[in-house]
Formats: sequence, C-alpha cells, structure tokens
Amino acid sequence: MSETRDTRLPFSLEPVLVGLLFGSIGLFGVIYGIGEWAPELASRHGAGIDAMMTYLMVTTGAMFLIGHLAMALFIWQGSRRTRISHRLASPRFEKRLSIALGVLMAVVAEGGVVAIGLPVWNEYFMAEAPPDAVTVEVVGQQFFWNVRYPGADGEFGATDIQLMDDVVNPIGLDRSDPAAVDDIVWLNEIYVPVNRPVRVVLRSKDMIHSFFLPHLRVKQDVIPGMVPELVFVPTREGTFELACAELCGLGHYRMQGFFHVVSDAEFTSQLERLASEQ
Amino acid sequence: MSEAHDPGFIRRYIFSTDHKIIGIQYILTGLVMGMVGGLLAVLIRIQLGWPTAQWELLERLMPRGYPSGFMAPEFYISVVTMHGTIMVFFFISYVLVSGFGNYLVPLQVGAKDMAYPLLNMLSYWFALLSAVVMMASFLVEGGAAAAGWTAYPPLSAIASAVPGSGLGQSIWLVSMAIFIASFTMSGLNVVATIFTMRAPGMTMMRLPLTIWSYFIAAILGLLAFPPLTAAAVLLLFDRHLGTSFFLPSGLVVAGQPLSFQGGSPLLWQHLFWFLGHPEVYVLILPALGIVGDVLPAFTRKPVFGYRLNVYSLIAVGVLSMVVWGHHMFVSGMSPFTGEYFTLATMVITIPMTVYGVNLVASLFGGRMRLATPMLFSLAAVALFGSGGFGGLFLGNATADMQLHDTYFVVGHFHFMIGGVTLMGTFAALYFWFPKMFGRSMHEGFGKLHFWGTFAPFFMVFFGQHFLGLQGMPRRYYAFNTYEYLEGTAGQNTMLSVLVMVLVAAQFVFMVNFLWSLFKGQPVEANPWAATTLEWTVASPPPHGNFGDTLPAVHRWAYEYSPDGTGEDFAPQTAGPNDAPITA
Amino acid sequence: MTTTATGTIAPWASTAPDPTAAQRAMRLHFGLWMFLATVTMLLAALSSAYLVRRSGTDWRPVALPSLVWWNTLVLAASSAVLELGRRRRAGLGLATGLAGASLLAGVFIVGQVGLWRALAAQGIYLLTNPHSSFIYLLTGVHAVHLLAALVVMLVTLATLGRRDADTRAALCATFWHFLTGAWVYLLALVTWV
Repeated sequence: MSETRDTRLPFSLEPVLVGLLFGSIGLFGVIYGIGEWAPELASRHGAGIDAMMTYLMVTTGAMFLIGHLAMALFIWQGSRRTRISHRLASPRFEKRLSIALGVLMAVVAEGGVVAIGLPVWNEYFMAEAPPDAVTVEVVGQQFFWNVRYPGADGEFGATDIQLMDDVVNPIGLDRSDPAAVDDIVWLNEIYVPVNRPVRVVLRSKDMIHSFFLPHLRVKQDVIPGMVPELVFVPTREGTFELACAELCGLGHYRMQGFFHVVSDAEFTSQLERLASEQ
Repeated sequence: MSEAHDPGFIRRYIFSTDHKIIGIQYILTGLVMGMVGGLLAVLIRIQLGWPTAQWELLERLMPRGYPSGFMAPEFYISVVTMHGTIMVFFFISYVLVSGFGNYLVPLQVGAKDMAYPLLNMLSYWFALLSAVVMMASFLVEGGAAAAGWTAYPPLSAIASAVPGSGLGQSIWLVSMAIFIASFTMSGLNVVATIFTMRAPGMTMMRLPLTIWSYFIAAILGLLAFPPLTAAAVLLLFDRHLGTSFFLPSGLVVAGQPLSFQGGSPLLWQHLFWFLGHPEVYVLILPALGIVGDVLPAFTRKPVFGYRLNVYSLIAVGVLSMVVWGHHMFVSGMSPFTGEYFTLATMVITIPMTVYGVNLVASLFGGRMRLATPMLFSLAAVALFGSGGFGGLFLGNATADMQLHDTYFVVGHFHFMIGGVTLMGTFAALYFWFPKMFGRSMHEGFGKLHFWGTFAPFFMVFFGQHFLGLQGMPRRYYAFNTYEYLEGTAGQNTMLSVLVMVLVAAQFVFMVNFLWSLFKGQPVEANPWAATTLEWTVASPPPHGNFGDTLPAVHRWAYEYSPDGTGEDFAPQTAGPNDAPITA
Repeated sequence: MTTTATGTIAPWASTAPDPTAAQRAMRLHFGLWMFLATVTMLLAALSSAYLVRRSGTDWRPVALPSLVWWNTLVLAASSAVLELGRRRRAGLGLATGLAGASLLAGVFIVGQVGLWRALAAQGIYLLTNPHSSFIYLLTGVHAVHLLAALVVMLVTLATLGRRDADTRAALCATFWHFLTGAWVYLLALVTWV
C-alpha cells in the first residue's frame, strides 16, 4: 500500500531511540558474539562439538540479527504513521508463512542435529574402548576426585565401603585382593598419554558430581549407584582443569582436579612415580 | 445482587471471594516476594562480582551468612536455591499466572466471577501460607534449603550433605506441597471458568490470546504438578522415615556409611523434570498471551495469524509434556533416550517460532504508539526470540554436553522464564493498572523504568550465555581458583554492576506504583481504546463485573481499525451493524 | 441451541449472570473431573516410580494378608450402596445411601489399619524392602484421599436439606467410585506387578 507524506507524523526522538535500542541489540549482540569463546580444544570428538556449536552460532546469529533489525525497522516505520498500512494478511498467507517457518526450523534445528549433532553424540557415547585404551577410574566425593589406575594387571581391585577412610583409604580399596595389589590410588591429578584413547570409569561415593573437562568437551554426571564410562582421545599436551558441574554441597566450587595430558614416555614415568608413592 | 452487596471491609478486601480482589492480593503478595528474590540476586551478584571483598555491613545484617564479612559458601548456595525457588514459584507464578489469571479470566470471558469463588479464596490463603512457610526456612538451624531449586537427591535427602539439607529442606518440601495444593485449586478455577462460563457468543476461537494462554497453562499445571507432589512425598519418606526410593546403596557421606539400599537418584530427576519442563511453559505462556494482546492495542491492527497462534500454543502445551529429558542429557541415561529427547525438543522450536515470528509480524504495517506497556511487550518479544535461540543450543544434546550446567543455561532461562515473564508482567501491570485501580501509572516514570530494566537485563543475561560458552559452571561460589576462567572475572564484575542498575530501576517502579495508586490520573473505562470485554465496564469494575446482564459477544478480540483508519476499533460486544466483522 | 447473527452460542450460555441449577451441576462435574485428572497423574507418577524402583536388585515381593480382599469387598459395597441410594433403588434413599456408604468407608479404613497391623505382625515394616515401602505409601496415599472424600460425604449428608443436594450427592458418588477404582488399580499393582 502506498503511503503519502501527509500520513506521516513529525519526527520525534523516542521512536528513534527505541528503534536504535532493538537494532543495536541485534548488531552489537552479533559483534560481541563473533570469535572464539570456548576454551582451546584438546580432544578428538570435541572438534565435532565445536562444529555443532559453530553451526548453531552462525544460524542463530543470523536469525538474531534479522529479527532485531526487523523489529527496529517496524518500530521506526510504525511510529511515524497516522494510518495503518496493512491490517490483515489473508489466511492463506498466514498459513504459508507458518509452513515456511516450520520447514525452516525443521531444517535448521532438526537438520543440524541429524547432520552434525547425532554423529558426534554417537561417537562419544557408543564408543567401545579399544584394546590400547588407558583406563582410569575417578571416584567423586565431597569435594575431591579420587583417581585410580589398575596397574600392570589392568584390573581394578575390589573395594569395600567398610574399609573407607578419608585419610588413608578414601575409596575403601581391599589390599588383600590380588587385583588390588598394584592399583595406584591418587587424588585430584589424572595423567593420560596424548593421542591415545582414554577410558574413564566414573563413580561417586556420596552426591551427584559431574566430571567436566571444559577443554576436552567432556561432561558426565556421576550419579551414586551408577557407573558411567567415557571413552575419548586427548589431542594436545598440557594440564587441563577438571571442574565439578553438578551442585554437590558447599564446597562444589572448589572440587577442582587436574587432567595432565602428557607424552607416552612421561605418562609411564609419572605412573611409576605414583606407584612408588603408594 | 451486586448493588445490595456490602459485606464490610474485612469480607470485601481480606477474605474476599471476588476474583478481582483475589487477583490483586496475589499480585501484591507476588511483588513483595519478587523484592525478596531480587535482593537475594543482589547478594549473589555481590559475591560473584567481588569474590574477595569484605562486607562489614552485610555481616552486621546477617552475621551467620557473613562470618567476618565474607559470605559463607553454604549461605551462598542457600541464597541461590531460594532465589530460584522464590522467583519461579512465588513471584512469577503469583503475579503473572495466578494474579493476572484471576483478575483477567472472568473479565475477558465475560463471567461474573470464577467458577468456584470459595475455592479461589482458599487457593490464595494456601498460597500466602506457602510463601510464609518458605520464608521461615531462612530462620531455622542450618539455614534455608541449599540443594538448588531442582532439589536433586542425595544432596537434598541427607541432612549431613550440606547445612541447608537439615530442617530447611524439609520446610522447602512442605512449602512446595502447600504451593501445589494452592496452584491446583487456582488451575481448576481457570480451566472451568474458561471452559464453562464464557459469555454468549464467546466461542473458543474468539477468546483473546491471553485467555488461551491461561487455559493451556492451567491444564499443564494440573497435569504436571502431581508428579512433583509424588516426588516430594517420596523424598520426605526418604528423609524422615528412612526409605530408599531415591537413595542407592553404598553412600558414604562425611565419612559415615549410610544404610540406604538400591534407590535411584535418577528417578527424582525424571519426576522433577516431568513437572519442571511443563512448569516453564506454565510461566511463559501467559506472558506470551498477554504480549499477543498488548501489541495490537498499540499497533491498532489485529494480531498476525490468530488461529495459528492458538494452534501453536496448543502444540507447545502437548509437546512440553514429552521433552523433559533434555534437562538430563549428561545424567547418564541411555544415549538412545538422549537422541529421542533431542529430536522431540527440536520439534518444539516449530510452534514457538511460528508464535514468535507472528508477534514480530504483528508490528508490520501498524501505527505504533510507544506507551510503557508496548515497550515492555517489545522487550518480551526480543527476549523470547533471543532466549529461543539459546534453546536451540541446549536442546541439542551434542552442544549441551559442553553447555549443561554452565552459565549458558543460567542466561537462557533468565531470558525465558526470567525475562519474557518479567517483561510480560510489567507490560500487564502497566496495561491493566488503570483497570484495576481506576488510575493510570505515570508514563514518564514508566519509560524510565523500561530503559533501566530492559537494557541492563538484556546485557546481563546475554553476557551470561558467553560466560557459559567459556565453560563457567553454575552454582559456583567463586571462580578464582580456576585458571581457565581468569578471563571471566572482569565480565562478572561488569554483570554485577549492571544488575545493580537493574535493581535500582525497580525502585522507580515501586515509587510509581505506590504514587499512582493514590495520585495517578483518574481514567475512563477504556483508556487504551482496547477491544476485550474488561474495557467495556467501569474502571475498576464493580463487584459482579457486568451487572445484571452478561455481555453478548459478536466478534473476535482484535477488531482494531476495521475501516483501515488506524483510529477506529470495535469492542467484542459491538454488533454486526456497528462495524464490519472481520474474523 | 440458540443462535445469533454471528454464530452459535454454547448451550449452557445465557446472559443471566447467575447460573441455573443445571449450569451449576455441569460446572461442578467439570471441575471434579479435572481434579480427578490431577489425582490420576499423581497415581501415574507413583506407579512409574514403583515400576522404576521394582527393577532394583533389592526388590523382594511381599504377599498381602487375605484381609485386603475383605477390605476391597467392603469398599466396593460402599460404592454400590451410595450409587443405589443416589438412584433411589433397592429401597434406599439418598440419606440412607450416604450414611451407609460412610459407615462402610469407616469399616474399610479400620480394615486398612488392620492390614498394616497384620503386615507388621509378620515383621514387614515400611523399611523392610522397597516393595513394603510402596505398600505402606500407596495405601496411605489412598487412605488420605478417602478420608477427604469421607469428610465431603458427611458434610453432604449433614446439609441434605440445602439446594443442589442431588448434584452434590452425584459429585460425591463420582469421587467415591473413582477412589474405589483407584484402590482396585493399586491393589492389582502391588499384588501382581
């Protein structure tokens, strides 16, 4: 519909400001969001998670920008009109727009999930630990991570809650079990070799904890009574922080661990050092 | 009947069965609780913004929470828990859902009162009791509940797990049970009133979107809350009678082995989120409905795609019952279940996108008046869109692996059930204040309030999304020991400053509200030139709303500019001869 | 059904602000059914908790004492008496129906307490195993609802002279039959599942 000059209201500042407010949310939001936000990647499957993230950032960023600019435009235009320019769209147009939106969201949201998301999800959760994987058990408790390696026999020894003692035997390891003799138990420090699959067996003694390695894009809740396992491949040497990501009590914030990704040689020597200190 | 009705002050304003009085009681109670929740947010942000500072004033006010001027970590998580609980259940639920629900439903469907007025009064008194009980938990030994508003066991089940899991957690559960009883009574009233008491001619497809959204929200509330009741009962049994519904064997807490056997903490999460997810729609749908009705009044044209909006609301209501597992992607449930919940959650984006885009499209071609209710409605639309985009990240199991329980989640739900609902609440307050009290609120202060609220609010919670992307976990008392989070310290301080601005702006609202109650400009029946039925009666409406004859309804609620001028409108009661009927 | 120039009007709608007896009855029935829907959701949640918990390794099925079948019979009889009285069949009036049903309800409650004592006598307590926890919990939850319904029924009995007595009796009956059905369902759940 055409608009003639005399149907415009005179200029006033408020609509400009309000329009600018919404427009700049879109514009500055996108400018703020561009760039690398996540901690620097250090795992193989994490590349897939980052790809999913990038895809979502780009698609939602575009919609975010378009949406806010449209609002800004409509506010600016609408505030100067003395008559409405469009009243009702035809039912057919309304229906078509909804179908188009439905298809768009199905493609953007479901399509992203199916094409990028689920393959990563499957790689992460369905992975079988290969024979050369390094196995480590992590037992959460308020507010520590107990770390255990099976030692040379590759088997974890039995544990018994009656034997638990927070100072000398936090996981209640039964040293009379032959499999337990060479188990290495340690606190808060995890050593793994770079570029080899790591199998992490998680347990909790008390609360729900969550094993969160931000750089490795790993997060798994540890619900007491359940023994979830993770398999992933660290790809970069370095010391990465381990944080608890499920509220577990007043010391939740200081339940910090360190995940050391080291060379094969360094890994062997570290385990020897830990074994000698048992 | 209405003329002869003079029951005296107590019966009229305190123990009233009039839905308008009850609605206002709910709104005032909720606003007070909202102030409490807001002050708790200030405590949270002080701690996060300046984690190493010492606060002598706070120590003097709360010696137990601030030993030697530093916030105690157990007090911090109590505050976080209570902030969430109060804002979700006692602020938004009371003001927006029960408050405006009570006030608007009979007026907008054209009924004399709610279907069960006595039950309605009872629901308010239960609500007040539940709020008082919840507040009392701050005073007990060990302090208020500290297991988060989600109250996951074992943390919420074992008294030695955290100080707040002593008496505080029991009080929390009892208060929730009373709240659920109250909310059920209120929900029954809303559904029955909308379904059985519409004025002649008020077909379902002529109901304003506000009423549709309350209808869906009330049904969701009725169906989703009972599982939380069941879960609360089971948890109380575990806590006080020693059963093991949620508690597994082999627990060793604080060095003591416990005797529980074979229970499942995951079961609580399923029961909780079966409620919890529909609950967020119970909160957000009324805001979306209200926005859908406020926008047309200030663009002077019908809402875009009314029918499709209604279908979207229904679809969202149905879908919300089958997606709860997206809160539990990394809980250790079966990965196949995770895939299902991802795919199902993504389906919800479709009706929500239709609704959101239709709201934006409602602005197109309109003649806009930027009054305060309109500004807050626009803010709600922007937050709804932005928050929805965050939902695409969190509903996607793959992205959620990184983002779960980080500040991305905190930012997301503050945009949605924090922001859309808050902006919707303010839109409603400014829009219907003249109807409620016969006086209008001050526009200048209203606009000041808008700028002071929306701009910092958006920045704070937009910023939190990016804190989450940096891997900052939620419910942390401090971050200064984590090297990878060093860069967030400055951002956190900035956000805290913005929250102070946000909170300061609410004082503008409080002053405006109180001043306008007594000194505001007196208004006529229909100051906004709106079409729905409540605007056809006096402001404030008399007891019994419509007098001796209920209104007959001839058209939908969006007959703005039927002649295309931008000035004209036809109330729903206008007959076919008064103005052309366009839908 | 009345119609206007603009379309049909719902059959219950009129411009009189106060409802007729039929409208009141319809509203109350509607509300009751909504309430029963929420109670159904409560039972569904407890049932799913039961099914989840049942897969635990420490689940030991407990056999209920035979008293429970007599209790069930009493509750069913109470429902039948109420329904017959409400329909004024078999020589029963509304008052006798309500009174008889209340009396039988009392017998049922006493019987349920007897059931708990019989279980305790066998050494089966709340904490004995998860199945016994659920038995005590579910019978308890049912008894609480039943007591609430009993109070409503006694109030109805005491106010039979007031308006809408038949409607209120019908509401009582609906609630009561629902609770009888819920009991049969719960019994089947804890006995056979």
